[in-house]
Amino acid sequence: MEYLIHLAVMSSIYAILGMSLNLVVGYAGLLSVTHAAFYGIGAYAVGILTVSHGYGFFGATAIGMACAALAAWFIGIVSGRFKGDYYALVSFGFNIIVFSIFLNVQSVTRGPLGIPGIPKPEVFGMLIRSNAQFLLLAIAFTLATYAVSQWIVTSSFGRTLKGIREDEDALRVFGYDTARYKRIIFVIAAMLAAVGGSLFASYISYIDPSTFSLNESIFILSLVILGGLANVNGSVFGAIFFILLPEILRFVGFPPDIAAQMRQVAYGLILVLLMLYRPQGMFGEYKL
Amino acid sequence: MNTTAKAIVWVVVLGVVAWAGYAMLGTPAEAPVAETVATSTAPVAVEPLKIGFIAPLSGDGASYGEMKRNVVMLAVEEINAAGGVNGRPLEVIYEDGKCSGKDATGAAQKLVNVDKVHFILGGFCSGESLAAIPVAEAGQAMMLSTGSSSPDLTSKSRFFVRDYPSDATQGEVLAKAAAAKGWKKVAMIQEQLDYPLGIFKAFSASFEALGGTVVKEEFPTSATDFRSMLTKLKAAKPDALFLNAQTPASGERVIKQLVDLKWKPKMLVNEAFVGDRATVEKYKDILEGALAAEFAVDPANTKFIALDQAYKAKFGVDMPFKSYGQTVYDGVYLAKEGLMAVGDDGVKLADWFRTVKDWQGASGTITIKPDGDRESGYSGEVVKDGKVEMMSMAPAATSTPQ
Repeated sequence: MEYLIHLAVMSSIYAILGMSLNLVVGYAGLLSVTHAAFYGIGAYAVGILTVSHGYGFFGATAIGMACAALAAWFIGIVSGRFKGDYYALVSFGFNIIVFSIFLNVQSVTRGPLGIPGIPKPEVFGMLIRSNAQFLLLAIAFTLATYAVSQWIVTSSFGRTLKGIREDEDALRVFGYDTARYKRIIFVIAAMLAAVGGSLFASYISYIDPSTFSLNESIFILSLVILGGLANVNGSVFGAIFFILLPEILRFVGFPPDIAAQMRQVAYGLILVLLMLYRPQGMFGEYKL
Repeated sequence: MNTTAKAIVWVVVLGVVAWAGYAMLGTPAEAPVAETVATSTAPVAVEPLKIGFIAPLSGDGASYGEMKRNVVMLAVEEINAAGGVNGRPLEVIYEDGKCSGKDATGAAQKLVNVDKVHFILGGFCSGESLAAIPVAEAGQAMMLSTGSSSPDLTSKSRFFVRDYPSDATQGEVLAKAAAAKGWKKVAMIQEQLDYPLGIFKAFSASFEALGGTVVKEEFPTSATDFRSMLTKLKAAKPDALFLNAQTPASGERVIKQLVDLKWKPKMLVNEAFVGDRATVEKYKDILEGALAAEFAVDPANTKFIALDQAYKAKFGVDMPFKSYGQTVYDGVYLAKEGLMAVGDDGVKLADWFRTVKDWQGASGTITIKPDGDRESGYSGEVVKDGKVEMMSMAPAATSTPQ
């Protein structure tokens, strides 16, 4: 049971990451490969502030969101000048920069040693001890993210984003400041990703830079695409699928000397097959 | 959503439900990993005693993880052939920690809560151990690491011990050896990972306390060009160059460029590099006289010789990373003794491991301190004509400038 709770917590965290990235990739049509950077900023904010500065979980999370928002605002200004593949490359670069900061500013982040012993959150003076309690907290955050995402995509703001995705020039002709729209959605997505990061940090209790590398961004992007672009439910499905699939493969009885490799092969094969037969993702309403 | 999508979703949902039921109700009798039922024609079917295993079986650290898995298989086979633990054969459940905290947490969750093990041999990487410990604590399972050397793990938990010494001691031994050579300034080229960084911290702390200075350049794992860093370090006119890489492969890349630059400094190398004897032999010219510290393998130890030979016989290759292999082997046997002494109980095992004193294993004498660490074990070494030799007790005599 504990194990299933663990997987549910991980799925919630990745659902938050997936839903927030979907706002950028699915709705605004910006192929962003930098989500792990904001995820990491949230995680490091909680790691650093709770361990060595005595902050509480929620205070640290708020600061993490603010830092992510600030970073996203700046990168939005720069990347707003690019489109399509070039945008993806710029976002790529940003992920690498943030990763290098985690790795190199050792006086703050402890570099490759990582930050161990991150405490669990305290809610209304009650320390969260069990994973079941943590799951409730994670689900609460996931539902909040879900609500925010649904609200955004059904609002006129969301419709404008879809318009930008389909034909940015046309919207500009109608007088929309499309760059501003893109920047705002990027900032919102970054703040939500930081929430995912703060949950991850306090749940796993240990973070190091390798968790927030480019690979992680690609992983989050994959789950968004597999779940389906421009569909909030799709991202939740994608997160659950991507978390459960490798765990299910742990139970497939491969002989122990090749088990790890076979699991990876099976994992890759399943993804290839899914993309082959379902290129728009499970619930997708838009294709890159 | 069209029909294909619906069909796929339903298949996934059914799969998950079936698997969740399986996971909750526990593993049925025909367990998938039952390769080690080597009990000698026991008439009564005894239930095997399950223990967990976490190490990187895929990804960058896989070469370590595979060696660990092989040694564990070997030791468990021996133990089971000799009657197992009080008549029950050991069964190991191998999980991949991928050298990452996230995956190790998942692996530990499965081992503790699904397979219900009370003893885990792992993690291997320090990041695996640091992240898995809270899970083991919550499930009151005991963890014994045979490779994690981060100083952060000292006194980390009641449920964690290691039979591999902390990096802090490796840095210290090297610093003392360098100071004994009369070196005042050491230039370090360090890979940006936790293990080399831990060594740097320990080394510079003790070297500076002994009156020396350290200048350092860092390189990311992906780096292939070190010329500018090496040139910069050379310009600092150090007495020696400390090659502090995570793996022999990255260390070798640095050495190649040293050769290209025709710079032949006196060298210090860390354990990860000197552990790969083939590479040391290959670059014996430039490494002549290099200092190293290794949690040394004692080639005269009979248990170690037996392990080394058995490994070669079973897997057809020479055992790699011998200094890690010996602690894995001892770890399995320590676990067996603990399980025999106090039974399959995490709390009792936690107390039992701290009573281990002067235990003779393949890695020499093991004493576990109350903080969960193994009492030192690093010794200074020197490279001579491509061979690694123990440092003589009076190194000052041989340190005349060449």
